Amino acid sequence: MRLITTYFLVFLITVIQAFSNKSHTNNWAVLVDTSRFWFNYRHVANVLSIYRSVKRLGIPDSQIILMIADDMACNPRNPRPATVFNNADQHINVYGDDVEVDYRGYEVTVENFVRLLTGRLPPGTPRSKQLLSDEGSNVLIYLTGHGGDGFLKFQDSEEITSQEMADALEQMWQKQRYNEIFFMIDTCQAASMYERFYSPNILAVGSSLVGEDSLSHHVDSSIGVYIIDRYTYYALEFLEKVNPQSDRSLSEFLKVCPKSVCISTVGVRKDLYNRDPSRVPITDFFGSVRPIDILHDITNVTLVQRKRAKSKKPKAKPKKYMYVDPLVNFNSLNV
Amino acid sequence: MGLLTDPSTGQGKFVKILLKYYVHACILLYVSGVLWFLAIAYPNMNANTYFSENALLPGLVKSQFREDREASRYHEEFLDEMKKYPDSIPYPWLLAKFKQIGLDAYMHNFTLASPFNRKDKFSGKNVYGILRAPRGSSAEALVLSTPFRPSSSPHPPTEPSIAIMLAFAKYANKEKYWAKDIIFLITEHEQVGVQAWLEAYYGVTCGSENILDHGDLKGRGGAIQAAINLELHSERIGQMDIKIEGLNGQLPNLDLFNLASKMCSKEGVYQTFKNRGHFYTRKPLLEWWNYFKNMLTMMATQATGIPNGNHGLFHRFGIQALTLEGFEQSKATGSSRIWFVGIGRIIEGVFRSLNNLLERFHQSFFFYLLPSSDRYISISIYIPSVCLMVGTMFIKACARWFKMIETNSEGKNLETSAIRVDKIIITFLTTHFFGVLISNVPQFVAQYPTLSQYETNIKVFYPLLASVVLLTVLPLFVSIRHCKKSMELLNILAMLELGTTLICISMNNFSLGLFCGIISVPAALVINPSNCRVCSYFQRFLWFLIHPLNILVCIVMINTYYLFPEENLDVILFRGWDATMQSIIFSIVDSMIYGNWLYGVITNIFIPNWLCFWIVSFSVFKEGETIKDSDKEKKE
Repeated sequence: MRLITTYFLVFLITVIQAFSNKSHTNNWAVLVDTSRFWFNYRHVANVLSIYRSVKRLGIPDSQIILMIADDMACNPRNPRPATVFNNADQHINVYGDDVEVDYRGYEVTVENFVRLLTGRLPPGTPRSKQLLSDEGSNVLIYLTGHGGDGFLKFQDSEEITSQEMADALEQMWQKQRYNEIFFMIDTCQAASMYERFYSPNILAVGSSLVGEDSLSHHVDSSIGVYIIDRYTYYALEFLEKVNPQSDRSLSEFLKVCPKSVCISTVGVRKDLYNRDPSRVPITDFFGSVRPIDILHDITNVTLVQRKRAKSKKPKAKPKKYMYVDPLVNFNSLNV
Repeated sequence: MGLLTDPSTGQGKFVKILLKYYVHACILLYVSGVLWFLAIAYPNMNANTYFSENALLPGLVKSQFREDREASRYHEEFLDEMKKYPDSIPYPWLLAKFKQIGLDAYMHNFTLASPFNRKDKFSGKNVYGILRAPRGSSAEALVLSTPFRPSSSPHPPTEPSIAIMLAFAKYANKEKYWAKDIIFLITEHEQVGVQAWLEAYYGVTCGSENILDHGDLKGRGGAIQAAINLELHSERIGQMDIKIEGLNGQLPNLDLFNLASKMCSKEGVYQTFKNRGHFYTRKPLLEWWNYFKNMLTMMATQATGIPNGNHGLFHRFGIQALTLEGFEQSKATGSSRIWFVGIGRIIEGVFRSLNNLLERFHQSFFFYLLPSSDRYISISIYIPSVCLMVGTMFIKACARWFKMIETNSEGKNLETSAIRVDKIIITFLTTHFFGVLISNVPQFVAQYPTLSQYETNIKVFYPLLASVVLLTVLPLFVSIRHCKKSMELLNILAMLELGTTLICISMNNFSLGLFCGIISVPAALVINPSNCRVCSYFQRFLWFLIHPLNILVCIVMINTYYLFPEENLDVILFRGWDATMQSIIFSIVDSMIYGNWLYGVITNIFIPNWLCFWIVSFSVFKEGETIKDSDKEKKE
């Protein structure tokens, strides 16, 4: 009897392990810049740089939700109109011609953000503004803006607290809207935002611990703004070397910005995450799974070579046209 | 908790302590107030300036201004042009240049009627050009202004600032990053021109009616957020002084000052505040003395309430403004001079930062003192000094009140009805009525055209002087001075009024409030209704000394002595007297044209209040005298 129980237990564990190792079936990315105004140029550059990377690594635009205030490129103060750069060398215009902004301007609100995550959007919301993830989705959430201890400021007057953030993710879990979440946040006191998380399968990384400021990386003196934040700059440096086939692991990515260059301490929270980050390829979150069905029963189809018959086309008769009165008198018709 | 009028409150423990120690407390508070004021200049008490507004992004952008040749050419041309207009603004040339550069150019006419003789009219012209924001909505604007000074003007010339303004306009017009309009304004007749232009821009009249006819503006920009006024006396600048004190002691936001200061040091010009640059010393006492001197210089300017540059008139409209005054000679040894390129780059840097602003200046301090250009004393640091001083007035008033109630409740022959409250109030109001009369003397005088053949000094100053002198005999007509209690109550009222006034003034113009407090509080503490002849004479003498007019004469005399140390005493006295007359006339004119409230406050509040104390010091009574005897005297 004991033997049977043991076998059964072993079997159960194997099954559970098999299930927990089951990989995801699709990828989503939610990229949010919560600030606006010209002097926050760097936040837009941050989020557009991540956007560019996930797109390059294979997540299609239909599965990226981009929320930005979008007032930089066409800001009258911008000496390079219609562009956003993430580096003073200005070699990458991250606001190129294929950027799809899903929520822009004053649509970037706490309400919209929470509704988007939890899927409680009003009926009739276009598909591009919905997070249509399922229990097989790996979701990358990237936030940048101005944060404080336990909150993240949204534009002028709103803020989301860490508790609200945690509750939104729990709802997502209960509604089976994700398989795993990689939560990245680049703000001041970023670590405070993921402290309250309690839902499983979340790996969180923040650019600074509680009580620390996240700093900007450098200034573009021709535009006259701080152009990118430190953490995102080094994250991007790493991501630029990744391609969809590469097997760089997530643990490498978590070490991307040591304190010597970041000045702030990058905070990581792994306790909710079941897998070992060193075995998880970074493309699990930044790349995309394209479902492929492999066909086993191969049938050879030979193409039939047809001789082209040299047949003369019968001469088409010239069509006969007839004159129709332009204005028909309905009274004269016998109906 | 008892009401103030509840007789039982006099028995409280707190009241007993107050009655026992209030004299000590008053002295202690006054002395600590003065000490606090002395201490605020000590480096440990104040802090380094910093940028509070994130949006400014000061100095991040690379300066690209290189129109220095253009500026030199404008300068030469303008000097030539000025010869054709010996004492007026060469407006056709300026209009043509603005148009050539591509701005909307306009002219603004204004007329000033002499405050004391409305028939005398002076007219002036301002010229301004508006650079429209190429990609913005023209909802906001910045101003770059400069006063035009004809060669006959007694002030140092400002032609180089007009030249650099034109060159900067030319440069700025080519750039595409302006989110706000820039208004380039050249004004005539010093502050009158700016005042008229601002009044016309906002469609208001700040001073008395019918004095300054501000005329109309043909072109407007958006809401003005900041203004920089240029007074460059040379094309080579060795020292750049930043002036901030405005009308009625208003100051621009500290962020704007920091911005200008940062841009000047970025271009490497020796930058000063109140003609003093940075100084570094290891001796703490010397350091404190330097800071304190500089702070006093600023406070002296602020206390007058007269703007020390054209920037000062913008503040009233919520526009943050300051003046950059450039001198060729520098006090610093071995400092380099900057040319038009450097000056242009300072302006460019300041304007690009202002262009980045998204809201009005609101982050940093509006109330502060500067002991140097890199340190500031905020309102929270300096206000306790005046509060400690003025607190003595309230403590003494309180203690005196309790004392009065206490003696009442003991009930020695005296009833509560002995205090004639109605008479006290009538006396109190009468003094204020006279104050209002004095403040309106100039208006009366101006309305009598028959007086117009006399000189302004004679027809305004002497009537004013006469009425002030006449008022000093007022106590002789006050009947209640024979009643000790009534005098006591009047004294309490006067102390409360003085205390409230001083606090209110120091909220608006701290320097004025503090100086008034330092002088008037100790004297007011001494004044008590007393029957001791010596005490009473001493009180009268002391109180006479601090009559506002006497204070003014003293200040002007000392000032004259320092300006002309080589002159004989009689010459100095004569000049000082003349200057006193001038200063009073000017303060009246300022109140009528610009709405400066110094004259109004002195005549409407300080002189009546002085009279109240003056009456108290004339109290004549015998201990135990009843009200019936004093009732025989007729009031006034």
